[in-house]
Amino acid sequence: MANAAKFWSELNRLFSVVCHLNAGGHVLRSSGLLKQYVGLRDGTQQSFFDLFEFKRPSGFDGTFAHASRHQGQLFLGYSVEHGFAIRGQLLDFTEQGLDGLCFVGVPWLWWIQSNSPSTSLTLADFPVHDVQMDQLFFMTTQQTMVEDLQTMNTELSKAKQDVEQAILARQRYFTHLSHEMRSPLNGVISALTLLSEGLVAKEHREMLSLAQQSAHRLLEVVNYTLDVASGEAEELHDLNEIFSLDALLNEAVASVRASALAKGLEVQRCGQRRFTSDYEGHPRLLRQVLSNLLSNAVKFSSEGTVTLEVHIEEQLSADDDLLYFAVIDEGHGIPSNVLSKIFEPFITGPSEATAGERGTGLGLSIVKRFVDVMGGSVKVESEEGRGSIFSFNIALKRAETVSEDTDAPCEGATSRLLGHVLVVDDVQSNLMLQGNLLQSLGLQVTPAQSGEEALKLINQYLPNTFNAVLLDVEMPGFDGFETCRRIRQIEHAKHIPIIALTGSVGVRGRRRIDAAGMNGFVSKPVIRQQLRETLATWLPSLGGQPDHETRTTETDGSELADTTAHFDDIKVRNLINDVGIESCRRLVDTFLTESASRWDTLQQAISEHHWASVGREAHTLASSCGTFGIVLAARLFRRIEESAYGSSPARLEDLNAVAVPLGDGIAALERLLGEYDDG
Amino acid sequence: MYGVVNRSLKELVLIHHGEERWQKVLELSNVPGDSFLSMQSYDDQVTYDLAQAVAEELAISVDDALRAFGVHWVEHTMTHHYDALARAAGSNLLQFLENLNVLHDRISSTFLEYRPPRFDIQHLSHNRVEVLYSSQRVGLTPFVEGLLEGLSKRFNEPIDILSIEALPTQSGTRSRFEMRLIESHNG
Repeated sequence: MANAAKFWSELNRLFSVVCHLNAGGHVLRSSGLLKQYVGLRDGTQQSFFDLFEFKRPSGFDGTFAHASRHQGQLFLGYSVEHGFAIRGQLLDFTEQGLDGLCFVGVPWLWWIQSNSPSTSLTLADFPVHDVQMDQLFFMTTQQTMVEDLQTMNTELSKAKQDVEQAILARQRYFTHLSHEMRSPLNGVISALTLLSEGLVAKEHREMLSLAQQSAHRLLEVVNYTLDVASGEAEELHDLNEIFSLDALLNEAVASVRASALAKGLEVQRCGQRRFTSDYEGHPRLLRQVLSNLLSNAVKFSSEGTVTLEVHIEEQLSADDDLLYFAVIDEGHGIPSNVLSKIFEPFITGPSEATAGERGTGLGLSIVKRFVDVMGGSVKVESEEGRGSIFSFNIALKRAETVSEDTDAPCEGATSRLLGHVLVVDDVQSNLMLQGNLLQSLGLQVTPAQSGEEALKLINQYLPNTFNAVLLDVEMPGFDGFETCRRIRQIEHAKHIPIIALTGSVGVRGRRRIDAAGMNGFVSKPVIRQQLRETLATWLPSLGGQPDHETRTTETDGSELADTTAHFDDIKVRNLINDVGIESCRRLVDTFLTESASRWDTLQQAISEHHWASVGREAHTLASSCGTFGIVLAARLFRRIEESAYGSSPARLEDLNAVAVPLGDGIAALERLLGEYDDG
Repeated sequence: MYGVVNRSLKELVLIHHGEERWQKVLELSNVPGDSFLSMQSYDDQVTYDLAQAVAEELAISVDDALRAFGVHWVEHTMTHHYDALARAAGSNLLQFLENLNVLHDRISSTFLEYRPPRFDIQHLSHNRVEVLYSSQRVGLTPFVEGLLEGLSKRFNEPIDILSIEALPTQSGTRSRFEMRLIESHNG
């Protein structure tokens, strides 16, 4: 018995939950914890297996006979009533003087933590060899670590956001700064150009030439700074967009056509003419790369052809194509000693032949940066006097199928119209725009700012000087209808085609146009294709060849502008395609100047209830805004125009409501123009 | 020391003095960042530098800064992050102090770089207790003083620290605290 007592004491040192059971499963004696938490009393006939629900062993039926068959296995038991649970095993210590079976174990910490948190156990309730407390600490610290990592993740996300915002702010700053620098620089360049066109002494002409070259180079540096900043932002944000590769290639070719024609160069596109898919990638960067390469090719060529070749080099997967781009010229070529570093900033190809055309050497640096961002690598092959080939491959993800692809031979310029057109509009920017569009169609243009001036010109010029008249219907003084009637009274102009320019083309509007004796109309804002098609009815074309630029962006259904948007960039891109970026910039400058002045006039007219003037000014502003894609402001101006002829005339509040959309639209317009900066 | 210590020090400044003061502390300390992971081991010098910078920024002594930190450790870090363990360590001040070594033993089995201090408790009389603090580290005796103050508040058992005596040692720290347990009139 003494041995049994000693052994019982040892068991209680090793385990905190100990219970001696007789052959019937009744409690003979138990450790302090069981007394404290479950209320066991020694020597009573309490059944140990009735006190707890046993989760383990599996299928345990609560009888002593069953329990004795599971000796040595893990027992997990809990008592919801007492908020206590045990884990341990049943062992036979008969040889040590303890008849029956003994349960030895510890509190089941996880069950108690989860189901009875008010049961407060202390470290002393667990023997030192039991690891449940260690596990609890470990799990607590792991939880803390997870919280730390979540906090850190939040902090990092915020830091990333802050950095991105800072970069965007810097980009906006550069955009703004670049614009602010570019505007006066353009003023300087324009002034120098005008000066150089006048009578200037020879010694002054050299100085003027130097000033012009310097101003142009400074402009290139400003543009480069902006491009680098915007390229970094695009790389950071991974700004993938879905775009039409065909439209982009047409734009790129169109951007240099005017300067190429001026030098007597042919510009052509060859390779794959149409692509089966739109693509997902960086259209802004690609446009800039091609524009830089093409303008360089034009700049450094005196004769021959500049070719843009694009084709699918390889189908990388079901969704990805590897595309080959090359710009090939037959120009002066690059000396071998410069070739290896031609993509470094400020490296130019010195050559006597190109001395007058040297730039800052920044355009190709931008090309390399942007091609790198797009995951490609640009290379150059060149031989002095034999031209150059700049090429690169980039992988693009296909977006959606739009049409069958067609391989086509290289194609060149569009067919041109022949004739001399008198264009009449009181708004200077409209006059410039229409003049540019007509010239781009090959036509000679004479502008007039009023109906009276148009009549004077028609009377002054010889009969048949003008082959058509493009006539704005809304003008102060003689409006378009009155002017048309009076033109028809001039003997030699009785049958001259007169095309109305109008923002309103409803049934009533068409009747008025017909009644006034006009031959047709073109709706404002004027689209080059529409203008060409209308004029082609009366004017002959050169060669009669079909226009190969049929897939311009305005005819591409996939790129129709969102009419609910504040700004319609497609419209402006088409305009740039039609008249070239430099002309477009001049048009925008004129538009901005005129619209500021007309805003004041409109404001005054509303204040003084001069409704005719309100209608006219609002009409003009709506029309101009429409031309430059500022659609929301155009719509609001149109409402003011309509109200001027209605029962509830416009108020100053209505005008003020246009200020924000107008400002936003102008900002968007300037941003878009910024995309077309030369490298 | 583990990052949890540095995090706690940061929390102390943030809670009582705000983000701006913490950034100044960080700048003064020359510690490169403040994203500490609780269970990652950091050089002790990081903690010392931060404590020094806290004292400098708040224009208090380093000892005062460490005392405040000790109180904060109990009131905030232990209570908010390790409450189950703290409760397991005891439900009154003396029980807690007497279980601290056991708690540290268990932590040492999981965290192999853990170098915990040792606390030996001796009852001098019915209301006088000696706490012998031994550590491989130096300079943290004021922190332990703050811990005792914090525990006193946690268990609502007022104490009066009668003396703190630095005992001779070859390395690290050995300090002897003698404190009087003030009988609570509430209980």
